[in-house]
Amino acid sequence: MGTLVTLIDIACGRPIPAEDSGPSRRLQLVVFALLASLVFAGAWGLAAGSRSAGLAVANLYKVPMVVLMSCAFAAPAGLLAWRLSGTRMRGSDLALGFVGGVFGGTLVLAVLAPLVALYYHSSAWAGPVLGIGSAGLALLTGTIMFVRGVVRRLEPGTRKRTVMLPVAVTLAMQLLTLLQLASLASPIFPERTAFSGGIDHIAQSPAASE
Amino acid sequence: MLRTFFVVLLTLFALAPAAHAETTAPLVASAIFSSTRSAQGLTWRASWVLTPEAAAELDDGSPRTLRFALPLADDVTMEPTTGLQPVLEDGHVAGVLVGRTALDARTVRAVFHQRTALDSDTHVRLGAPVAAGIALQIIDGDLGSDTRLEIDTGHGLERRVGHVAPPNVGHAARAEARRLTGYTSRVTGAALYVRGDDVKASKGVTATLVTPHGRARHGALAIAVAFVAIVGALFVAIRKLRDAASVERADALLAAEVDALGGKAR
Repeated sequence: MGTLVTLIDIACGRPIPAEDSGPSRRLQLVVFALLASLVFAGAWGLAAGSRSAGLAVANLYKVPMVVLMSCAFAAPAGLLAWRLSGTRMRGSDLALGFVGGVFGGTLVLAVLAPLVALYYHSSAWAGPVLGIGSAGLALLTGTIMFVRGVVRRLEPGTRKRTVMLPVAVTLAMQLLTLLQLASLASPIFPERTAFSGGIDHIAQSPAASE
Repeated sequence: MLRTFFVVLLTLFALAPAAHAETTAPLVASAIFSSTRSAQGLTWRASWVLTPEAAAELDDGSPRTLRFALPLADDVTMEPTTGLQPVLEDGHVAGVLVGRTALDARTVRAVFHQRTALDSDTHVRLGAPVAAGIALQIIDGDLGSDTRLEIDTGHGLERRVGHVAPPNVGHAARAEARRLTGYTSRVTGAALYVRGDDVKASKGVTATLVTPHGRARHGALAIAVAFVAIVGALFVAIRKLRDAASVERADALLAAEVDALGGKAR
């Protein structure tokens, strides 16, 4: 429970307690945050696919997979951008900010999961709207938590602008990978959505290919 | 005498290309072949856009033969169409005789049925009746619902962003083909820009049926393996970090206690 509270504190951008500031403990918190995110994502996946048992069970793997793989693909680019930007921020602070955002975003998914499940069972149109809406809200929350967590952990005298490059690169990479992973894992919702076809569908416009 | 001879010779040389051009004047300016799935396999809707000269000739009442780059295979049949007569060679449809009644502005339309088993990952020789010659034509392999015929490249065709075309076909030529046929470009990668001569040289165009399920299947296994590996690595990391993290926490708490005691003592 203590670790969960610490993770919520990290996601909210609060200072890390002195006893949790060691390098091994920080790395342990990063790992805990990722594993907790998988559980939260699985809960939401179960709710989003709850109209059919097969889809619900499949979503227990698909949604955590999308979340974890997007993190795994985004992290190297973010770390490279962190190195190249020359910022004085610690790499572990960036990692904690990132997983704090992922943890916060998936926590939003988990708390909205009962609502999504309820509406999927009782409404023809509100279920899908809530499903997509909760995913959008989780992305927004995760982004805000990531940026806020990183900015609040900056050492005095460090310019905010220098950490924005790794943050922006990580976010962009994660969004781009999320888009395609969601398309690969499709169907996650019982309905076909705008994201089911990935970037090809989104870029589908008359002049796009020329 | 010599002068007359040269005048006649020059006149003959001047007339010869014109006479040649008369017999081989291109009939088709461009064409589009749209495919849809049917119970038997594929249905091809062909729209050949004729050159203004050929359209004017047809309008005057003289029928013209539209030859295909290759005779159609046995599994392709043509729907009876007013004003169009199949031209048979060795029992295969090698072209169509176009009459005045088949002409709609500059366009001639026909429907072809291809009997084929459409299973995922199987190669199909496309039954699109591409007109012979150098006119750039479009084969649209988008079957809808994210299913498409993915053209097999090689044999003079190369995959580019959003389409397949021979190497020497440029942007302007593709734009002109789209303008003539009214084809709306999409980023499916299923559009093939091809000339009759290319089809003839490659002895037909083949494609593979790609379904969303089939497309996802290829990447899904690799991603699943990577996912399991990463989750496994996270659990291993937790075990390995447990002791070190406990020592760090204990050290930090002890240091805080010592600091607190030091403060009290002062």
